Amino acid sequence: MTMRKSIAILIALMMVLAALAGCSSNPTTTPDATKAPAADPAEPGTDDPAEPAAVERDPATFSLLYMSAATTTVDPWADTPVGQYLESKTNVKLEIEYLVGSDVRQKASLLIAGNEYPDILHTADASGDFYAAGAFIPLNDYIENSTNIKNCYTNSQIKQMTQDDGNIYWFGAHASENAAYPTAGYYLNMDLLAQADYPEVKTFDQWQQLIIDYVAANPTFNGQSTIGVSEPTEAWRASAVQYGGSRFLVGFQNDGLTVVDPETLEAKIIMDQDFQKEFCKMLNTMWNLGIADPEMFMQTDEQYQAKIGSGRIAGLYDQRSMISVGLDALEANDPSRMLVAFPVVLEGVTTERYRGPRAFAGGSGIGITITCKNPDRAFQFLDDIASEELQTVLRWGVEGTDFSYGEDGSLVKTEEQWANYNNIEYKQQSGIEQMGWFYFWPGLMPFTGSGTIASPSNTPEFVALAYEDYEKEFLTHYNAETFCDWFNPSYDAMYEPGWSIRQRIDTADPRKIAGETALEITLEYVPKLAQCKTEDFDKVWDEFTGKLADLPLREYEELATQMIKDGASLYQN
Amino acid sequence: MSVQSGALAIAKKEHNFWRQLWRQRQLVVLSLPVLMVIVFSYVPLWGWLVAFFDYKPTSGMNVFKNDFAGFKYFIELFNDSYFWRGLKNSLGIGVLKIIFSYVFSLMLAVMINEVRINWFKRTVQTISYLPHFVSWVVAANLVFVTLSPDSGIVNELLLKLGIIDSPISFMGKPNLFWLIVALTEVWKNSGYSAIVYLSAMTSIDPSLYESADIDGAGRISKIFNITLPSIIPTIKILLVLSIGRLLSVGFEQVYVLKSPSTTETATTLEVYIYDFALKYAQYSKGSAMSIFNSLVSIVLIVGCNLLARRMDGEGIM
Amino acid sequence: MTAKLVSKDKPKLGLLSTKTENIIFDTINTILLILVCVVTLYPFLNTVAISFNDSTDAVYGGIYLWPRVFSTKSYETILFKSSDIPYSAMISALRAISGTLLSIPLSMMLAFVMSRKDFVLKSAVTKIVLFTMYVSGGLIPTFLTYRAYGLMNNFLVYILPTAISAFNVLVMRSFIEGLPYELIESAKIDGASEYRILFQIIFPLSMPVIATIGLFVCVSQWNQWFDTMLYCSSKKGLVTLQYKLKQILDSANSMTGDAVAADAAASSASEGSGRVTTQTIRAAMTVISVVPIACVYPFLQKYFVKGMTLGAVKG
Repeated sequence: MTMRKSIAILIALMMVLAALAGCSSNPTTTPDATKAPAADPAEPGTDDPAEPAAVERDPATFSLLYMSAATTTVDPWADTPVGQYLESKTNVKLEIEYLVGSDVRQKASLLIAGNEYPDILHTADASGDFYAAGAFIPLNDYIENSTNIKNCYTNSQIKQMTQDDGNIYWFGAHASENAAYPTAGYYLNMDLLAQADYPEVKTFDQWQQLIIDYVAANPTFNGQSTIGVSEPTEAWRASAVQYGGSRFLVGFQNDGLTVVDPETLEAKIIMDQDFQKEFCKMLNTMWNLGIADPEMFMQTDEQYQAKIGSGRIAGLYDQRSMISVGLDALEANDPSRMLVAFPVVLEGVTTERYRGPRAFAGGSGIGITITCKNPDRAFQFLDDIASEELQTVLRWGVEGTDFSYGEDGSLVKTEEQWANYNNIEYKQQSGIEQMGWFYFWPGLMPFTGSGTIASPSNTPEFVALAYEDYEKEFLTHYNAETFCDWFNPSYDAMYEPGWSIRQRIDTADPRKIAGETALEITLEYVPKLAQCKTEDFDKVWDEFTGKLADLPLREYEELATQMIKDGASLYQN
Repeated sequence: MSVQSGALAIAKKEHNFWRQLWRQRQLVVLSLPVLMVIVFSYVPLWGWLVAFFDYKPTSGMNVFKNDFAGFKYFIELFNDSYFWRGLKNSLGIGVLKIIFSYVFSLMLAVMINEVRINWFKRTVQTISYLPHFVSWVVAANLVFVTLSPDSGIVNELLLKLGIIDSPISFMGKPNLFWLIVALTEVWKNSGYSAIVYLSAMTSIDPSLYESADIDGAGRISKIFNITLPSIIPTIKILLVLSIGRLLSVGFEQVYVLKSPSTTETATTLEVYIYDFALKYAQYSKGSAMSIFNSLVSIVLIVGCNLLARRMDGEGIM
Repeated sequence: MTAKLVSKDKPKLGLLSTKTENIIFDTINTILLILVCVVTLYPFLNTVAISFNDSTDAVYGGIYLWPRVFSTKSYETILFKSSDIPYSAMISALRAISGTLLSIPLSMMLAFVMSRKDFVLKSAVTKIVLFTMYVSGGLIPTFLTYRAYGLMNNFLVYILPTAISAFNVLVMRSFIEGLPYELIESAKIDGASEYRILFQIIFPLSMPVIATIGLFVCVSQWNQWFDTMLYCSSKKGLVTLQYKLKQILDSANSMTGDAVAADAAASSASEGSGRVTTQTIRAAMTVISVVPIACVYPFLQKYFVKGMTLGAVKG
C-alpha cells in the first residue's frame, strides 16, 4: 500500500517537474543550427596583410580550454609580461582553463554531452571523440586566406591535418626534440659505470650483466639494499612495462602500443610479441635473483621517483621527462650516482631508433569550436599569434628583458637571461614557454626574419650551457660532447607515429577498446610473469597470450596499418 | 457480493486516506523538501535509459536518438567473466568491511564509554576522530610505507622478532588484499563511526547501572548485560544501512590501495566500471552496471528492513 | 577481542573484590586506548611532519614525526603563490554557510514528518529519501539534468543538490523520535500548528543534533571541489578554495596527463622540469583542511555525543 502510494506521488511529482523542465530550456536542439560551415570564406585575413601591430583589432574575449593540468598556478595570459604583451598586440582577453582533478576522457565526454565548448579547445587525446561529435568548425578556407598561419605549415603538413571528410579542424603539433639528453633509454647508475670502467653499453644482455655484477659487488648503499632494476607501474605510467621498454630492443621507434615495420608499414601490437617476452624475462631474471625492486608492482609514481632520488637504483628503462622529479632530487643529493641512458638492443639487432622521428603530429591540437560566437575574430586572433613577432615572444620572452636582437637581427640572450631561461620559476612568472598550444611555428626551424631557431632550448648556445660540471667530467670518459652521442640521431618521420594514430581513433571504436583492454590484461600479467618461478615463465606467458588472443587485436593492427599507409605519402616528399 | 463489499472497503479506505491527508496538510507542506530530493536525485535517473540504448554522448539528453539495444548490454555484462570477478571482490570486501568496522568501532565505543577520567575520554575521542579527515591518497601512502617489504616498519619488526625469515610483500599479495582494505578502513574510520554508538550509550538510563552495582555485577558483565543490549536499535539501523551499501565498497579507498600485483582481488565492481566502462566511453555498459548495483542495494536494504521489522517490529522505513 | 581476553580471566577475577577488578579493567582499558590514540594519531602527525619538510628532501622518504629539513615552502606555495586564494576561500566560506543554513531547516522538516507515526505519507517520504543513498543516474545524465535546470556557472549548484542527505535526515529523525511525544501532544491540544511545533518546540530541543549535522554539512561543503569542476570551472568568480588547492596539487603533479601523452612526450620533451613534489603539498593541504575542523571539534564534541543518535535506546 505505502509502496503504491509513494510511487503514485513520485510519478505525479515527476510529471509536474517534467512539465516545468520542458518549459524552461531545451539545450539539445541547438547543435545542428551552428554546425553549418562557418562564415563566408572571403572575409578572414583579407583586411590587411601587414604586421598585427599595425592594425587595431576590435577588442574580444575568448575562452580556451587546455586539456591537461596546469604546470603553474600563474595565469600565463593575465598575470605575466608575455601574456600582457600578447594581449596588447592582439587586443584579446583570453580566459584560460586547465584540466583540474579529472582526466581528458571525463572532461571530453561532459563537453560533448553538453554540446557546449569553450571558444578555443585543445583536443589532447580525445581528438577522435571531438571529431566524431562535430565539435570544431572547418578551418580550410581560413587557413588559405590567412596572413601568417599558412606560412607555418608545409603543404604535406596541411594534408596531414586534413581529416577523412576533407576538412581541417585543429592545428597539429610540430616536432620537437631535446638536444641535451636522449628522450628514452635503458639507464645505468654512474657509479656502476665507473666501477665497470666506463664500458660502451650496447646489448640488453650486457646491460643486465652489468647490473647483476654491480649489485653483487655493492649489495647495499647508504644502509639500504641496492635495487637492481625498478620500473614505474602506477596507472598510465605502467606503459613502460606494458610496451614502452621492449620495442626499442629490436630497433623499432616509439609508435604507441604498436610497432611499425619501416618497410611495409605494417603495424603490430607489442604486448604479445617475442621482444616483449624478452623484456618480461629480464624482469623475471632480476626478480628471481632477488635484485629487482620488491615494490615494483605496487609503488606509486611518487615512491618510484623517491627511489630514483635516493641513488639506490642501478638501472631502469624509462623516458627521461617522466623521471625528472627523481633525477632532480638525485642531482641535488648525490650526482655521482646519476642515471645515464644507453640505446641497448638484443644480440644481432643492428639499428636502434631510440631518439625516434622528428614527426609532425596531426593527431591533436587546438581548434575553434562550433559554439564560438565569433569564429572570424577567433581565427584572426590565432593568425595574429602566429606572426613571427608574437611567436618569438611566446618562446623567447619580451624584448629587452629576456632577449635582444643582435647586429645581424638574430635573437640573443645574455648569460643572465639564459640563467633565467633555465629557472622554471622565472619562466612561470614571466610566461615564457607557458603556452605551448600556440606554437604554430615549428620549434626546430629558424624564424624567417631573425634566422634564429624558434625554440631556445634547441639553439647551440643552450646546449653548451646545459651540463653541470660532473656531467662534463663524465662525458670525457666517453670522449663525448653530449649524452646523445652514443645514440643514433633522430630523423624525419616516414609516416604518422603510432601514438598519434591512437589519439585519432574514436574511443568508442571496438578496435580501440580491444587495444586498451589488452593493456589492462598486460598490466595484470606483467607482475605474474616477473614474479613466477623461472621454469613456470613459459606457462604463464602462454596463459597471458591466450587471454590476448580472445581480443580482436588483429583488427586494431589492420586499422592502424591502414591509417598509417593512407597518410604515408604525405611524409615522403 | 463479497467483491462489492471488498471494493467498498477499499474505496472507503482510499476516501479515508485523502481525508486524512487533508487533515494533515500542514505535515504535507512540511514534506515539500522531498520535491528537492526528487528534482536533484530522481530526475537524473532518466540516465538509466542509457543502458538500453547504444548511447553516444553527442545525443545529450535525447537518449531516444540512439539505437535501441534492449537488454544487449545486460547480457553482455552477465557473459563477462570480469564482471563476475568484480562482483565477487565487491562482495568479499563489502562483507569483511562490515564485520570489521562493526566489531572495532563498537569495541572502541565501549572502551571509551568505560573511561572514568573526563579529560582523557575527551582527548581519546578527539584523536580517534582525526584520521577520518585525512584523504585516502595520503592514508594509502602511509599504508604502503608501513607495510613495505623494503624497510617497512612491520616487516622490520617481524624480522627482528624472528617470526619471518624474509620480508613479506603485504600489499603485493592478492590473497591479503581484502583483509588489508578492511583493516585500513578500521584504522581510518573506527573513531568516527564510534561516535554514533557513544551517543547511544550516553542515553542509557544510569539507574540500570546503579542497580547492577547493587547486585555486585562486574564491569565486563555490565557491558554485556546493559550497555550492548541497550544500543541494539542503533546497531540494527546502521547494519541495515550498511548492508544496503554492500556493493559500494568505497571506490577511492580500493583504487588507491590496489596495484598491478593485486588486480585479481582488487578489481571491484566500481573499479571495473571505472576502468573499463568510463575510461573507454562504454557508457551503456557502465550504466547497466550501475543499475545492477542500485537494484541489488535496494533489494538488500528492503530485505534487511523486513527482517529487522520481523525481529522486533521496528524497521527504518 | 580484548573483551574476550579479559572475560577469560574472569573466574580468577571473581575472587577479587570489585575494586581490584576495576583497577585491572581500567588499566588494561587505558593502555589499549592509548595504543589506539598512537595508531590513529600517527598518520596525522606524520602528515604534519611531511608538510613542514623540504619538498626535494621529502622525496627520500623516512620522515616520521619530525621534519628532517624544515621548510614552509609548501604552505607558501599553497597560500601565497596564487592571488585569488582569499577570494576563493570567501566563496568556499559562503557556500559552507549558506549550504548549512539551507540544509538544516529542510532536513529538519523532513526528519520531523518522518518521525510522525500518525502521518499518512510517513513511509512514502521515508522511502523516497532513503533510496537516494542507493541510486544514481550516472555522472553524465546528472550533469545534463542540472545543466538543463540552468545551474551551470551558478552558485546555487553548490547548495541545492546537496541540501538533503538521507543519512543526516535519518540521524535527525532518530533524535526527534527520542524527544518525549507528549510535547507534541500537549502543543496540539493548545492549538499549535505543525509549523509552530516544529520551529518553536522541536527546533530548540534539537540543538545537539543540529550542531552535529550542521558541522557535518559545513565540513563537507568546505571540502568540495568536484562540483566546481563539473559546473563552474569556466567561471573564475565561482571557483572554490578546494578546487584551487586541487589545481595547485595537479600542477605540482603535472607531467603529461595520460598514457598517450607519455608516448607523445618522447617527441616533445623540451618542456622544463623542476617542480615542487606533490607529497609535501598534499600533506600541507591535508593539514590546512583538517586544522579548522580539529579546532572546532573539541568545542562541539559534547553536542556530537548527544546529537548523533540513530535508533531509540532501550531501557
